[in-house]
Order: sequence, then C-alpha cells, then structure tokens
Amino acid sequence: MSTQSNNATILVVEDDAALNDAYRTILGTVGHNVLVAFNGQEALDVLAQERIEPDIILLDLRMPVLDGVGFLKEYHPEKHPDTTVVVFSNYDAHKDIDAAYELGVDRYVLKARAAPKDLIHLVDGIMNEKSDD
Amino acid sequence: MKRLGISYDQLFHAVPGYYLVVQPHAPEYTIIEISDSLAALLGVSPGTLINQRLSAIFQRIGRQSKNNSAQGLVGAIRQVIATGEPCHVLLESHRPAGATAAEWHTGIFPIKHAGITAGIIVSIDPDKPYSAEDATDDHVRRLEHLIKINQSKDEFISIASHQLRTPATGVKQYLGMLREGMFGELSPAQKEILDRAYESNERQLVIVRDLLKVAQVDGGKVSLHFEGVDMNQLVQHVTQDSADVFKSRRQTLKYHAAKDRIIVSVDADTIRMVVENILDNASKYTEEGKCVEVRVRETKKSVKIRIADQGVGISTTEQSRLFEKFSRIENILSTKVGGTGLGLYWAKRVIDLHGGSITYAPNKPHGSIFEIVLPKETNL
Repeated sequence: MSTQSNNATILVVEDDAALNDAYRTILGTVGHNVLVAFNGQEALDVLAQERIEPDIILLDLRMPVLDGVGFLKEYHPEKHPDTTVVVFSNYDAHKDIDAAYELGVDRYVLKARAAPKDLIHLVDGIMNEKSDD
Repeated sequence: MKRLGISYDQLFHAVPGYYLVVQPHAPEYTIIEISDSLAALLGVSPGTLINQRLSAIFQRIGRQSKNNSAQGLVGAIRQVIATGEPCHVLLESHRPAGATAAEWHTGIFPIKHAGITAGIIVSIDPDKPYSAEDATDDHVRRLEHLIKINQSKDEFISIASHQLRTPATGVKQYLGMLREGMFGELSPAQKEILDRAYESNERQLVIVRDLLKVAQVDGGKVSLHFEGVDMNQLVQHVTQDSADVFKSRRQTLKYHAAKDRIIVSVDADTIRMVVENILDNASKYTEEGKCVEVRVRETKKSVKIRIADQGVGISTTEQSRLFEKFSRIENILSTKVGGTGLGLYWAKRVIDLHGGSITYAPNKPHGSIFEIVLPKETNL
C-alpha cells in the first residue's frame, strides 16, 4: 500500500464500467484525485471543462465513440509535457504498442497483468520522477 | 475446427492437388498452408515452408522463366487482390530431382471473406494448363470453404478471448483490492479463500492470453520485429528473471553461456517468451532438489539453446503430439501443474516464423531436453 506523499490528479479513460470504477477506487483510496471518462471524446470534454493538466492519463485503447489512438491524435501529448500518458490496454500486438508510442505515449501497460498494487506503484513511480525533475 | 474428430488440418490435407495458400498482405506474401503433394514435389516436408515468405518457393523451384519470375507471380497476386478475379501464370523451373526444365501452370485464386480478399490460393500444376473454368474447380472451392471456416474460427477465438479478458481483468482488480487489505485486515481464512479466487482468476487470464497468442499466430497476425540480438545475453536475462521461481521450488538453475557474443536477427520479445515458456515447463515438471541446465552454443550456421531438466520426462507415445495444439501431456505432475496445452504449440509456430526449429529428446537417466535452433542468417 502506498504511503502517499505525492497526490496526483489522474484521468482514467476506460470504457468498461467495472474496470473504470475499480481504477477510480484503487487510486482514490490511496489519496489521488481521480477524474473518469468512458471514451476518448469524454476525456477531451473532461479536460476542456475542468481546465486542468492532469499529472497522469490512464488510457484504454479500444473504446467506442473515440478510441485511444483517436484521443491521442486530438490531444497531442507533446503539447502537454507535464502530463504522463500511460496506455492501459489488453492489446499487446506490436502495431498497437508502436502506434501508441509514435503518438507520444510515455508507457504501455498490459492491464491484465497489473494488480492494484502495481497500479499504485506505477503512479508512485511517475510522481517520484516528476518531483525529481 | 474440430468436428466428428476430424480437424481442419486433416480436412485441408485431404484435398488433392499441388497448391499453397498465402496471406494477401504485400509486400511479403507468407505461405500459411501447403499441400502434401506440392511439398513432396518440392522435396520438403510441409512444415518447412509454413510461415515462410513466398520467395522460399522459388528457392525450391529453382530458375524462373524470364516472363514469369518471382516478381511475375507476386505481380499476378497483386492483380488478383486488386481485381478479385483469378488468373494464371506460367513458371519455368527445374524439377527438384532432375535437370529438365519444366513449365508449371499456376492458377491464382482469391479467397473472399467478409468482402475482402482474405487469402490467395496458388495452385501449381506441373502437368496441366489452367483455363478460366479452373476458377470454379472443385478442389479450389473446397479449399476456399475450409480456409474461410478456419479464418472465422480464428476471428471468433480472438474476439471471444478479448471479450473474456476485460471482465476477468475487472475481477483481478476487485479481488486484488480486498487481498491487498485496501478495505481492512483479513482473517487468515478470508485471505486463503481470496488467494484461491485470485489464483483461479490468474489461471483464467493465462488461458485467455494463450488462446489469443495462438489465434494471432494461426491467423498470421503476429508481426515480428527482427533486430540483432545477443542470444547469450537474452537467455542469461531470462534465467536471471527465473531464478527466484527456481529458488522457491528448491531447484538449481545452471546457465552455461557460449564463449562469445552471438548476434542473431530475431524478434527479441517472442524469443524471450519462448525461452521463458520452456524454462517454466522445465521447472514445473521437475521435482524439488533437482537441476535444470540451460546452455547456449554457436555453430557455423546457427545458435542452439538447450534446456535440460531432470524432471518427469515425456512418454514415447506422447512425444509425437508434444507440439500439437491443446496437447496436455499426462504425467504425475500434470494435474498439479495445470496449463492450456497451447504453450509449446505457440512456441513452435514462433520458432518456425524465425526459420528455426524446436525439438524434444529424453534426458538420461530421466527428464527432458528441449533444443531451440535459430539460423544466424535467415532468408525470411
């Protein structure tokens, strides 16, 4: 369990309601501020409405309305250097991973492998890197 | 596909004639099926050419005619993909066993699936010229039907597996939250029950992962990134990563590196997964206190990775189906170990894609030896 010193603002973009809720609960329980969206378009809307630059975006790839790649093309991660975009996907084909990295994603995590503690460690690690910079 | 005990492979190879099937993805057309007759004509076993590029055929056929070179055949395939209409070309070749040049009449037929060309049947006939009517040849239609059914099966497995993976990932998160004490301390009994549920869920995720991997490799959807990799280093990293597992099972893991660096062009990710798979099996099917040895050595043309265990071994009758799909091998540890029977099948397909081989031999006095051979120079 994390001993939170660096509370993060995290946008979870995941179309599966149960998983979306799970990630919100896990990250919220250890003190992070969590925003949620269920597809890429909702994520863009949340970012525009809240007028925030989240520390981290956890992004699923396959989603209705606007998928993860579509979101990245609209969002342009390179224009948001303070935000770390982590793809959280169950698709691990090279072409998916390559496409995500080419669009400016920082990390790629196979979500079926990540237990709650792994998610918490991932966020802690990213926040520690940010505070070291 | 399995119906009345007859598999897709058995049905496919029952169709007479000299033919092969390639994926319609330019520029590298990959052979995904080849008939026994054509393989015999070329003097190879069918498995040798599966997953090889179409150019491998030309290495076997020998000289191509000036009008119908490899590029000519590739051009004809492109034409078939563009028009959706069959066509034929004439290949001139040496027959493998003789020196006499021969003309090989070659029909090229599109396999339409869901509105797109999903495959190409290249039907080579050393004796008979093709006519337009051959497009409706019974055996071509039978092949087309079989291939469509098989592709539908691969798609179904792929889609179903992805759909199963999402809720299973959700279960992992919720069980994980409880297990990690995010909602309060658990009693030892509660912890034990949750651990069992978590492990069952993990097994389910592994099955789904293996099904997906096999569907990808069977459907020709594995894209390999070949790059120069030091095999000594790759295997060493795998053994280092596996050290804790061996230690927890009180087994010894010994690694014998080759003397020098061996740079081979491979897809590092998939080769690493293959070695992990073999090493994991070696540990699972070996009892406590025993030893597993990993050795990398170099020959003139290849690199060999040999994994030898002192485990329960594999009976002579079961060795022949070791690399088949869903081949669970029965032994005193198999019930305890679990597994999908897909790992070795997938490993073999991946090694085939590298132009290499993977073989089994019994270890003396007991146990198993798996040897992976990867060519230093590949024509893939």
